[in-house]
Amino acid sequence: MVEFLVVIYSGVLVGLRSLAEIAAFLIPVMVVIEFLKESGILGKISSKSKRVTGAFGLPGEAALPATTGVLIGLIFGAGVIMESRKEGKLDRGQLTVIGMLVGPFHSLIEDTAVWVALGASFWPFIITRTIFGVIPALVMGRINYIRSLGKGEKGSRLSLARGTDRP
Amino acid sequence: MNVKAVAFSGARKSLGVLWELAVVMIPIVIAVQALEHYGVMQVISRFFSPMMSLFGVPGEAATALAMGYLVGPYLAFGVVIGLGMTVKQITIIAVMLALAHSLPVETAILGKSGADARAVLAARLISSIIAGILLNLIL
Repeated sequence: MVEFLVVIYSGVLVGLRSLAEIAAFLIPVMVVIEFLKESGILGKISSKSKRVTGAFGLPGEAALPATTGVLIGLIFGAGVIMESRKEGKLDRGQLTVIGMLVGPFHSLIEDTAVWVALGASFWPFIITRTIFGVIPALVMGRINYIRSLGKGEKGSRLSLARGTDRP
Repeated sequence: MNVKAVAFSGARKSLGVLWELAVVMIPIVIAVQALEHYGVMQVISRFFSPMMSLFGVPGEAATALAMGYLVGPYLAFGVVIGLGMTVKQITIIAVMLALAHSLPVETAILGKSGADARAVLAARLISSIIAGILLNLIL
């Protein structure tokens, strides 16, 4: 019985100590995220990232939801994505590309902070995650492009990125 | 934008997250350490070692992966902390789980936002496994 209590006690101590380590990273990180959101910097980053999202075959409207999902988090990002979807500017293929980008590659700031606090190695983590987050999305973008060729639609990758996809 | 208000709001939100983390993590840490103490982890370890050795992590880490995939990273944090692993192993688990976690819930959310949920799910799982194998070879 005493043995069991000791196990519980030591578990609590280990847990609390790790929590403190996580807090040391997480609190500053979430303050920064709040700043990014409230100050409109997130919006500015999103506009700058339009050229990048173009590489995936995504129109400019996708930049904000995609960037929000990637930097901040899935649930918050999903809300923004759903709003864009209601506005009707993104089709299923494009939404899937965003999903492939955001799924593996979201809560970047928060997740990285916690895993590094727990002991993961920063550069391997970030680089590998980026590679595997980006490649499926690129592939999907390619698939969308090839499909659009087959259907003879206007939404080809280059014209979307250049914004010349207009009648 | 009121700087102080934003800072306070961010700090407050982080406390909320930390509380959620604590509520999930600490019981898991206790459970894992108890399982280790009473020998259950060794059994799990022996069973999953062949598979886990692909990723270069101990057999017990299968618990972390399973929890991370099915429920969420918070549970996996608890397991990782409870087990104690090397930096390389933690990095591998971190990447594998960062790519694919909370799969049931997140796949549902992504589906609702209009993506092809099965495709995203497949992409994430495959990426996670390949990343684990690759990192094991590289690091």
